[in-house]
Amino acid sequence: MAALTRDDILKKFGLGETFERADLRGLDLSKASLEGGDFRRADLEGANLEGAKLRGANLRNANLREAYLTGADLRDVNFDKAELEGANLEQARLLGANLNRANLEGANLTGASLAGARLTNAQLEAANLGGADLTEAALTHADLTECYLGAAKLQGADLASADLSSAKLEEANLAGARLDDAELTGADAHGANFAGASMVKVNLSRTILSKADLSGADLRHATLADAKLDFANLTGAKVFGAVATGALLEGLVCESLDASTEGDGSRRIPKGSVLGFLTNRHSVAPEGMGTRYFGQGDVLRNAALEFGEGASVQIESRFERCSIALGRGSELIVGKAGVLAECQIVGAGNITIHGQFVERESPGIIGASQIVVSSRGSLVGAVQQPAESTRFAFEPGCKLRMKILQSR
Amino acid sequence: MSFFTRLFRRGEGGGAEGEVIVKKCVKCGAEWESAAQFCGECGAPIKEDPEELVPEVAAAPVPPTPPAPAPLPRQRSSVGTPAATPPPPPERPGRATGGSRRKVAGSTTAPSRGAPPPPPARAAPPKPPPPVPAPPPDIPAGSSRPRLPSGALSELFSAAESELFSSAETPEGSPPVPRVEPAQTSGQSTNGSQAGAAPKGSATVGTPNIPGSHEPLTLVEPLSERPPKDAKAGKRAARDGKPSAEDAAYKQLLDDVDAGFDSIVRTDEPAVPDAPRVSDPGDMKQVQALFQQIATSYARPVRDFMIEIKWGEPPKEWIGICAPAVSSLRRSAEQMELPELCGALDGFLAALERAQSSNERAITDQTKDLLVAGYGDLVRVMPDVFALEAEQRRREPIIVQSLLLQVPDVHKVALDKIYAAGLTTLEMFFLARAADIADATGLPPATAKSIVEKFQSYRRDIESAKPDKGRAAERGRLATLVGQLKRQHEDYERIASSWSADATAKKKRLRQLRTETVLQVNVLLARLGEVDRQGRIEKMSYDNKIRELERYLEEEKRKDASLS
Repeated sequence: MAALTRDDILKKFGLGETFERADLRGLDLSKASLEGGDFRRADLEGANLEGAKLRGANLRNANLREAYLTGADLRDVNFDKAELEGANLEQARLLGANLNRANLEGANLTGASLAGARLTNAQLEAANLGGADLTEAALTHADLTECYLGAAKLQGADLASADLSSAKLEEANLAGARLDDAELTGADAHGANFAGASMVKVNLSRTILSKADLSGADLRHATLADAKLDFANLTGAKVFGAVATGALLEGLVCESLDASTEGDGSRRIPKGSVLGFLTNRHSVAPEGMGTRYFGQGDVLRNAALEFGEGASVQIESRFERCSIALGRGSELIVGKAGVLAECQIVGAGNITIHGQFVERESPGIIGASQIVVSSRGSLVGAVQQPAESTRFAFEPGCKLRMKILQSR
Repeated sequence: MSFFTRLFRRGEGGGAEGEVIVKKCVKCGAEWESAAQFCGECGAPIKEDPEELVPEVAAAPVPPTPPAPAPLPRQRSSVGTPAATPPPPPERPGRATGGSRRKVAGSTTAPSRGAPPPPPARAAPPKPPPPVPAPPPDIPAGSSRPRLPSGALSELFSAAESELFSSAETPEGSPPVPRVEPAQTSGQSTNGSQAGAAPKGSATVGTPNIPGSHEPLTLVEPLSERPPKDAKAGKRAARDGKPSAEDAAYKQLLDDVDAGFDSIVRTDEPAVPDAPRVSDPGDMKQVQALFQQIATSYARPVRDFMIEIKWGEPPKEWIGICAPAVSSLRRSAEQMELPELCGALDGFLAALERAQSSNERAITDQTKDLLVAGYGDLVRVMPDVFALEAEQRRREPIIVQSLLLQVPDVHKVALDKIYAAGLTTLEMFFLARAADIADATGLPPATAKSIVEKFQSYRRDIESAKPDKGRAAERGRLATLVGQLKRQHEDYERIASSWSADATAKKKRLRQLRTETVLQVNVLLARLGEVDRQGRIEKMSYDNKIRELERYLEEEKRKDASLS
């Protein structure tokens, strides 16, 4: 139990003292005014901070497990790496707060205001964010698995590479949000609004998107396999490279689709052809731009391979001393069994490595738009970035021995 | 010549056990007790007899009783007399008090009958008496008995006094006798100094302190059941600079009425046999207010029952719990002279009897209407005690929301839709069909069906739960849930430290189970009327939640034990 009392704390706070590493477990600090206080690494487990005023306070690495923070003023608070598992932050004001890498597993953030908050790499597994305001919030790489985001306001939020598997997004507003490379497998987003959202390479396998608004959404290279899109609105969606195998398209609303590589509207699929286009060609890719697959067990040596714009290539074989040229917007996936030994990749493609890549001569990769190395992948070599810079994503557990070079 | 010899020589105070300070009349030489200021023989002032004063006698802590109705100036009081002399004792007209009561203070024996009447005490020129209101009808005008605020209070006092005097003759060593706990005079507590100082088994005789003008009540209670009151309260009050007598009197009155109710509940006998008959409108108001205050607590099972009736078809066993409470209230209402309430209670009792005599196992719609109508009268007469709305408004939202959140797929969005459609009461959910809910809210039919099933299951729970006065069934269920929550939490904490994929899955499951259990606990607490406790518990960590719930169950168990 805490050694300090509420009065002690208020007194010390009045004297400008710090509470760094202080034991404040289970204390009743409801409605206390502690703006700008220093609570770094403080232990506030189970504390009652209902309606407390903590604006601008520093709670970096603090333990607030199962703390009660309902209606607290937490604007601009630094919760970096704070432990907030099971905390109750209902109706709390967290505008502009820093929650990067914070653990909010099972926390209750119903109706909380998190506009502009930073939640990069935050753990929000099974958290309740029903009706929360996350407008313009940064949630890149956040873990939102089984999270409840019903009626949440996520307009303009950045959810790139976030994990929203099995999350509930019913009637959430994600208009203009960024969901590139996000994982929404098995999520329930019925009635959600994704209008104009950037969802490049988003995984929507088995996602419920009934009555969802996906108009104008950028779904290029997205996976929509077995997704439920009944009565969804896909008007003007960019679907180049998207895969819609087994998707339920009953009652789909769609005036036209954008099938251009760049998503610039240069290739339109009219209303009458939309269903046929989607149902007959489950992989929504233009003619002549099919997927190339190199199966497991094959070995390719000293070869020079060239793939055009928008091509999709998957390698599960072993390539030795090969040179691969990728067209703009092409996709190269090195599967789990795939090995690219002493190889070189050139071109503005997107490279995903689940297997291994080892360069022949430096730089091993030149001009790639994006490089993703998953937890099982390994990359040994230098990367020469193009003028617009390469986008990198490295999952924890991946093996890297790399050098990133600026464009010449 | 010893003091006792002198006393016996005069033939007064036979059997006296106390020791007194002696004064001598300056004119005729007659000796009188210390408190006497004027000679009973010749009327001349008397003075102390210093050679007769034995040190230990002088130091005897027995406060003398002033002989005259009006206290004399302090400087004339004798050695050993407390500075603040208690006011004169009341004298019941027709009571043979005997002269010894005026001459011997501190005697614990009854006065000898047939003793000569005391000499008339000639008092110093009396101060003009304070304005005295007309005495109550049972006290003759001009009586030395101090004025009482109302007839009710004087009657109560009489009852207490008669109790006292009958018990005063009980021989020492007999079972505990009733004792008069004197009420306080304004600004002075005598509980500690006199009543408290009386030896156990004896009675403080003859000088029950006179209640102040606002003093409503004296208590008659067996000594064994009530420890002597200490003087701390008075000291505290004096220290705080507040008049304690009024507060203490009010407290006493509250205790008294409460004790009356306790006895109603325990013995099913009329609680306050000598309950006051209140005629003064002001007192009537006060008494009614007190009655309401205490009746609110005693009517709780009745309110619970009526809430259950509103929410479903509770079993008939409820009647067995309510009827005694209603009967007790009826008896007290009669004693408090609340005829309108008596009528309403009679009506409700009749409805209860009819409900009891029906062949149905549960309270059916017909009997429900009867009971609701009967209860309506009670609410009309005494809304503060019987009104259900406030209580229901506190309990119902918690129950509804906790039940709804136990339904899979019901979260914020679904809740908002349900409430927006006006589905907010248990009654609505009990009556609603899945299709109705789906139509009204726009929720998927499967979810609507789950909601209906949940509420119907709860309804069955209510109807099948065997009620009892202490709500033991519900508390038993709560204890089970607390045990379950404890296990789930312990498992969760154990698994939380592990990082394996299996542990992660288990952790998720346990987190969900824990949440569901808390929702079930919320429902039970609300049903038990523990809404505030539920609110407090909600703000606690799981460890503290469990601890608090265990403490609550323990408290309730203790209460049960003390009642039984």
